[in-house]
Amino acid sequence: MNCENDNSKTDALSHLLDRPAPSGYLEDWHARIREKRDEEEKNMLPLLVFRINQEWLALSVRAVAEITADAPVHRVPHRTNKVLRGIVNVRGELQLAISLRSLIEVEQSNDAPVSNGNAYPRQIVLQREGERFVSRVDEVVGIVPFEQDSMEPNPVNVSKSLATYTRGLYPWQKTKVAHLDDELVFHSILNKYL
Amino acid sequence: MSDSSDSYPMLDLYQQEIETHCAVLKREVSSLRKDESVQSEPIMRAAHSIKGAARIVGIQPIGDLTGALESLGADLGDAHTAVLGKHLDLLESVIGLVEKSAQVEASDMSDWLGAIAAEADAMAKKLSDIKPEEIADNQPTAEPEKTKAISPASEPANLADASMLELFRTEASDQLEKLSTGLVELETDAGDLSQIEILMRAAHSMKGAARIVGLTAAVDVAHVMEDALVAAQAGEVTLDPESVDVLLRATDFLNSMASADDTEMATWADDYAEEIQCFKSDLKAIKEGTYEPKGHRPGASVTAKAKEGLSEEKKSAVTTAESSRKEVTGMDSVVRVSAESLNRLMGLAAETLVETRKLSPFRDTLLKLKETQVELNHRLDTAQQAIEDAHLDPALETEFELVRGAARSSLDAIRRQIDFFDGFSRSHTLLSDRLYREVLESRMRPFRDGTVGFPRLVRDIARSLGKKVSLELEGKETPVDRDVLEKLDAPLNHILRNACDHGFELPEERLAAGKSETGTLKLSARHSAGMLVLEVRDDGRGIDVKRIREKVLERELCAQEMADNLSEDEVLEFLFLPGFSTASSVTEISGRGVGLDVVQTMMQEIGGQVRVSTEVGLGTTFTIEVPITRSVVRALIVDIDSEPYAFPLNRISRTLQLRADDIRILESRQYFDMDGINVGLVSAHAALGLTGVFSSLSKELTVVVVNDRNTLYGVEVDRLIGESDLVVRPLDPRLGKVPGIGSASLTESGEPLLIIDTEDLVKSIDKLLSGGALVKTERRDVRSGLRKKRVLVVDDSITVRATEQQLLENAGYEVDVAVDGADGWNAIRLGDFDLVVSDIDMPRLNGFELVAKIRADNRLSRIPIIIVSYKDREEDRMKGLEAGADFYLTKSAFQDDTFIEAIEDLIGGPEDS
Repeated sequence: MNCENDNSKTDALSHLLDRPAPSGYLEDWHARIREKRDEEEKNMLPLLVFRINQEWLALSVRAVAEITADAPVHRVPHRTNKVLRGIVNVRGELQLAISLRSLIEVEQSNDAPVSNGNAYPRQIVLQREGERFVSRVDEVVGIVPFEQDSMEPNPVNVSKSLATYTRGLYPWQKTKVAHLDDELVFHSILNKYL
Repeated sequence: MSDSSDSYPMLDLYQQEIETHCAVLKREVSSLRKDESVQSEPIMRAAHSIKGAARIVGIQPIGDLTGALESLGADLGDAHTAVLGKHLDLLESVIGLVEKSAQVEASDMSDWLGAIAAEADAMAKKLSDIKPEEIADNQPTAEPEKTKAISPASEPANLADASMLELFRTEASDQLEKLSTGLVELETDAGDLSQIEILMRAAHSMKGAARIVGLTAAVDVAHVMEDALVAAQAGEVTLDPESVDVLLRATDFLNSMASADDTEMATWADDYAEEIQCFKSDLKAIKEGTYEPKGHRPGASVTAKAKEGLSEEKKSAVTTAESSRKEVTGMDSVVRVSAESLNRLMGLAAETLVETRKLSPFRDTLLKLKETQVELNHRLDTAQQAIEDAHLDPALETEFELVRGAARSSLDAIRRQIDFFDGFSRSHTLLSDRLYREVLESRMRPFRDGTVGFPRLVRDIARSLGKKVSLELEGKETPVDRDVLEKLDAPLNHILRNACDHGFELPEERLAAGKSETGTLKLSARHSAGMLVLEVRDDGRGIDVKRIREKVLERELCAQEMADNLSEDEVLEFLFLPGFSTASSVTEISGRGVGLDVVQTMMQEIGGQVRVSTEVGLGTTFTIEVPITRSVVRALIVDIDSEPYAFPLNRISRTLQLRADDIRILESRQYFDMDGINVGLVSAHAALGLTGVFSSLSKELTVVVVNDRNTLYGVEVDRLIGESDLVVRPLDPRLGKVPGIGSASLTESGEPLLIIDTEDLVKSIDKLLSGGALVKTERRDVRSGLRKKRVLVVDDSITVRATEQQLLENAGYEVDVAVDGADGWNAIRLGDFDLVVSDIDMPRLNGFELVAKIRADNRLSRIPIIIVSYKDREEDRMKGLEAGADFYLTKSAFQDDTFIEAIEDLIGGPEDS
């Protein structure tokens, strides 16, 4: 390389790099980056996915306090009904046990089990505005993020009761998950079964 | 509006509604009194609701009056605080009149309305005359007393925010308790100068605390108290009982101020100006040694209140300040822990214990694993011998050697593991056990915490009766569960009062009887056989058993022959009968029985006993036995319908096995014979309403015999499981009171169980045994063949809800109600309704939003909706119909048939066609 030309070349190079960005360039990238983040953050809805009988269901994570191992429920005389099952021990505290199964009337069908062999029954501790209830479910998958845009309206072939409690359906692993309306679930338990 | 009395059928509801809204109005007015700024919205809303309710029940004048108040709120806008502040008296008389309207009987309503019509009219006019411009002109004459009320009152409220006041209250209650206790001790221990120093410091701290929150009156009183105490310490004056009286009353006075609520505290200095002045001069006189007790006692008017405040304070405070310096030494410091947190700790500790029990089965599986390994190694040994004998390929032998080596080290590993696990398991079991005990222990308080008020109580009563009594406390450090301690306060109070009042003689009588002038009242506490035993012993005149016997006969409580045969103890039992001794017999034994039944009742509630023994001339002793704690109960666990239940042991008389042919049936009740007594038998299934009433009679029956006072009942259970100490947990409050069940607990394996409330169970047994009508009534009546149309009423006013419900039900519809828009929206989705009737102005979700939500839901969008509102402007109507309502009615529609007609137009008659 010729040393005499060095300085002028460097100058030219820095001119090239320092030149003002073409108009609309910044805005363009700004928009692109923002759009992507929005898409990821705004449109994903994390839900706790679980199963009762053959039905895949989901609840908003803020309505779930914890998941615990299945435990025996003690009936309460004069109080137990098909939804309010009794009391159950959750980490040393006695909580009210309810049956989501009966509340939303998930029917037992004779189809082959939908789950793999590793499924255990679990208890979900539901919470909302200081109220807590515990419900037994057949299997808990975990928290799954869903694209909000992928929500579909209720199909006609589920029980009327399930349809009532469902906000919408999300496609998941070749099947559909029904997103339950936790506000309505609590309202119904508190007003109709307690 | 008709004049007949039955034209006000909704008055009950009206009263409820008035109560709520007047409370709001009063709160706002009291804020105004304190010169705080208020929002106009709550006033308007309350006025609006009252207006609506009043118009519905036909109390027109009140409706007009509150209507005027509502529009005033709307007119004033931002200026409302300043303007309303100037018309407080008018506002208060308006509220007063509204409140009065809710107290009038339906039959007197027309008369009353006639009587107040002019007054209400005048008020309404005054209200509508108020103009925002009034802010500008300053008329001090309009509200002469207002300035007086506000200037001193606003002082603390402005200076101190709520949290500072809270701190002041805590500090004051501590310091005043020190003063109160110390003063009483000072009297018995006169001249103890170090004692006075503690009092001085307490008065000084009290002064400082009051100054921080700007309560000048309290500063002044505490200051003169301190002065008087300083003088006493310096030996300039001696504190005689009269001076101590003044100091004690001053303490009470300050205490009642500290426990007053914020508003009262603000006006305290004014309300009790006279007392404050009186205390100041009296205490000054004490300091100068010139105090002469006068006829009237300053602060006497608030003393009763102060006592209330004191006990209130005691209840709320988990900890009590160290009562005297003698006991403080070597004592733990105490912290406040919320009861909820303590309960949760207890739950976790119990759960840890349950989990620990799983360690042992795990160890067993490890041992099994070890055995298999031993077996494996043994077999490999045998195999190797065989291999060596067979002389196989050397390479194979080497390989086999490696397999044996691996098996050996695996066995070693598991042995080490078992050793390690054993150590861990031992220490963990010990730890969780200790943790559990410690948590249980933390519910315990020393007995002295429950006795702080007693020396003072005894002193005051004795002094007022001219007697001399000294109270001795023994066993102050005896631990007692805090719940039990709280429950003991009232009965002990009663017994101590009684002893002072009736047990002790006057000093001269005592001297004449050869006793010391001062009587001794001794309160002692100790543990005995798992119970807390309290003794209240006086050395007074004793009770004449003969007189009680006479009294028993006089009141024909039992026959002559029986009375003669009653033992002394049995005769004394009569003292605990309600109202046994009356005022007519003010003699040696007089009044002994008054209120002692209260003691008895409390004992029954907490599972305790009270006995009395006496000797004429020598004194009387009351002995109370209560469980040390109610958080742990010893119980018998039984199996009922495959689930564990527990009977508290102290209620069980015995358990027994019965053969089916031991049971006799009389008038469809079951009995069996136990030691010659006929005992009624009921199955636990029936008593708890679990299944059918009579269980199938198997050959052998397991029966728990429970006693309730003097009656025995047999309860048939499925199986006895065993005895256990149970930690009592409250039943979830959302369940309400469950018949026959008292509380809940966990079994050793962590399974929930229910503890039976024997008394309550006996009640249901009684019903079962005597009632005969054992048919269980279904909660919801079975739908008749014809389905009625269902209407949902959504309104936040209880009066409107009830009116609409009544109108609809009269017309034959089935009605459900919801208290606001959000509640309504949930109900609509669950309810299967044919029609919705909704208000507009509601909290959480208003009527327009509710209608929009219904119309947007494809399953509900076709439900007809009627909006019923007070708003009768055309634009409101348009807005409602645009949102999707089918009809828009104003609430005047209730006056005639418009409402029902609209409904029939939309969905037809009540029956499905």
